[in-house]
Amino acid sequence: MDPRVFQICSLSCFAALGLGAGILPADGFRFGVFLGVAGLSEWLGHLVFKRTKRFTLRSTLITTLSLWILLRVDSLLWLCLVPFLAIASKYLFRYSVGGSYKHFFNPANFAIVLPILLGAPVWLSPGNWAGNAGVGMWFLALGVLITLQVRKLDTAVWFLGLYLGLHLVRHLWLADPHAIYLHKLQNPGLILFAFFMITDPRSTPTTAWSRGVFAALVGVLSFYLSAKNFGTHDFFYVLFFASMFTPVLDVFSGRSAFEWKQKNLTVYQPSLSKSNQAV
Amino acid sequence: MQPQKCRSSLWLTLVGILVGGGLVASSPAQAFCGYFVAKAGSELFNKASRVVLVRDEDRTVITMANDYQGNASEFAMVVPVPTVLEKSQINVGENAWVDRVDGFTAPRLAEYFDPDPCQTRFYMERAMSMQNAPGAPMKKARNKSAKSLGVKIEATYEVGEYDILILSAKQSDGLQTWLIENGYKIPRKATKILRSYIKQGMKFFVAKINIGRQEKAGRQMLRPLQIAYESKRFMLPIRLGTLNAKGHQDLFVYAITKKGRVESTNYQNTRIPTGQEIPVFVKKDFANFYRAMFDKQVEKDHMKTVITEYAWNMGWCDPCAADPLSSKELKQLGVFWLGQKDLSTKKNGFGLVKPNPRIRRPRPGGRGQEAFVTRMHVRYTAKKFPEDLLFQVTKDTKNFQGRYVLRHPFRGESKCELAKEYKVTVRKQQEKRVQELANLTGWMPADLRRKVAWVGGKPADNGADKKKKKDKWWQGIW
Repeated sequence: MDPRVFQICSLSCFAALGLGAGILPADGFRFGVFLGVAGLSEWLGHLVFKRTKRFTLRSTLITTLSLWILLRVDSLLWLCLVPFLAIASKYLFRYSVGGSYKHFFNPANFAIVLPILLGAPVWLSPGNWAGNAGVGMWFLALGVLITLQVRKLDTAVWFLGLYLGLHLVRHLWLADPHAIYLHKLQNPGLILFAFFMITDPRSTPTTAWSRGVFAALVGVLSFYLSAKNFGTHDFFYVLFFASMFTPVLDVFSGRSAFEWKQKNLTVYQPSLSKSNQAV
Repeated sequence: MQPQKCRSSLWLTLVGILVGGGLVASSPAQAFCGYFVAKAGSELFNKASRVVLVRDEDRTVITMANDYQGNASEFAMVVPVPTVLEKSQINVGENAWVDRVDGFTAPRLAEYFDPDPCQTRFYMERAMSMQNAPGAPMKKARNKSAKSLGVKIEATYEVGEYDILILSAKQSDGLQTWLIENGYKIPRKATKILRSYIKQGMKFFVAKINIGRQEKAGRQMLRPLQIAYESKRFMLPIRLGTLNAKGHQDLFVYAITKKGRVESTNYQNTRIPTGQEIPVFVKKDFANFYRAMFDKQVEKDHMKTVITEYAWNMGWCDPCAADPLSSKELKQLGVFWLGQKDLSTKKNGFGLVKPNPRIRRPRPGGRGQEAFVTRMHVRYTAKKFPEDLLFQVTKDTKNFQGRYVLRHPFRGESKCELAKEYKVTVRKQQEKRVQELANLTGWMPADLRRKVAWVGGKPADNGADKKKKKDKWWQGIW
């Protein structure tokens, strides 16, 4: 099964959990516009660039769900621009590795960070999922981890290991009550980022070691910024800037681009067929 | 100052307990949507602190108001701050300034009067559309002691009736010992928290009342302290304040920004229920209604959320619980970006411009001010709110207010056919409002029904009996 189908199901469960707990607003209009514009942009991109043989909305749906959960928009123009930017980034910011094209920004991450940096009327609203929703969120994440196996989510493991690990070391050094550390874990943005953004194989370096280095650097830098400025979602910005170095890491490692379909992957790099069927 | 002579006790809250300020008598003013009749200000809540947070980019101005009722000589306040503050970064404000922003942002009650049903055919349509209406702190010896304890007195200032100390420390034990030697009573539990703040690079702002200067000025009430600093950390330290607290505390945060609404980034944000039509008798008991409704909301959220009560542009209001704050009043609260062009003119405590005294009147849909206010109400305990409050400024400029509506039915003589229909509809609506009020407050519907002035007389069969019948499915089969 295409791991993206599983990701769509996981993200839908995540959204349902937030809606059920009354944390996420039941904003169907925002979802509709996000999905409509993203789908249309994907189709246009498919027609113009002809990157793949078959048109699919799987990645689009993942991007839409991530954007809907994480981003709030206070302008109709930006409501349309955000999903367009997400999809456009896939076609505009790409490079060729081993004969295949690869984009270096995660579309949802790009569409969240760029408008914020540009001063658009958008804002991140992860807040905090206390109580059952917070616990449910981690169960869901654990489910994703078990189902897709740890090795397929190596970037998530590296990032979370370092980000949460360093926060735990800092927490023990500060000798704060453990409730504070547990409270920090209830950040839905962290889960979405770790399992659905930094794990994107199309926008992270191709080889296992370069991906590990990449995720570890994002984890360390995000930890540093959040400890310094008391921010709760610096990792989104760190990934945005770190993504620009993905091509450099790929050039050093000299491997080909990731393909969602194992069949295609074997054409370019048969030796990677086992380790790179990641999400 | 000899330690043994000191009797001051460290008052470990960020700001105060027992916020006061009487309810300002306002004559009802007609506004765009209904007559404003009452407001639910912060004075309704005991053990409440009030903080005005002015933020733009990395610049923050905090006004900490309190209604400390004890002996002024026993008052002291320790606030962790991100940077060392210069004297010009500290100011003493007036309680009235905070009362103004509290009054402007308070949840409000509005009322409408039904016209004669025989004179209008549009009652039902209007009633339906209205239901959907938007809701509306020195001496050498002391310095020597401080040095040996690892406490550095970064600065000492005399600001108004306050003596201010800016401390930085290397060891929490040293800081605690220093504070105790200098007459502050510190609970043991504070050591851990102080240690954590020291490690995080926080400095300590310590304020005490200088009785001599206070008496000279003839002041009774403690005036709010204002501090201005630049830091990426947009936070409000609440941990120290939870140490001496018995039970929960209420905190009102009035955040004023240039761009939009402020929300917590590390706690869930919810909004107070708004727009409900409630029975007319609540007019006499609005304070109790609002307290009960807020208690219910806190219970529903398991006391884990930051509750937004108001988010509105400072330029106007609808209906107005108080006039919007003038540019002068906003500047007094530290809204530094207003009128920066005229820096050569008279300056206030922050070295900012004395503003144009022009007062903006409430204007529905009127021009916006470059100031957006968010009123957040937090009820907290150390257990439910373990971490300090972190905030972010969003670009959300949508207006939100806690607004409740009273609808007075027409009680005059009407003899047309429409009048009969109107009475039936109004009675149904009166029952619906009783149910809604019960849901909002947790009050008993039967008690509420007794207080309602029913149109067409009290219902023959008591409403509570009616409910009993409904509760049993088999009743009414035979």
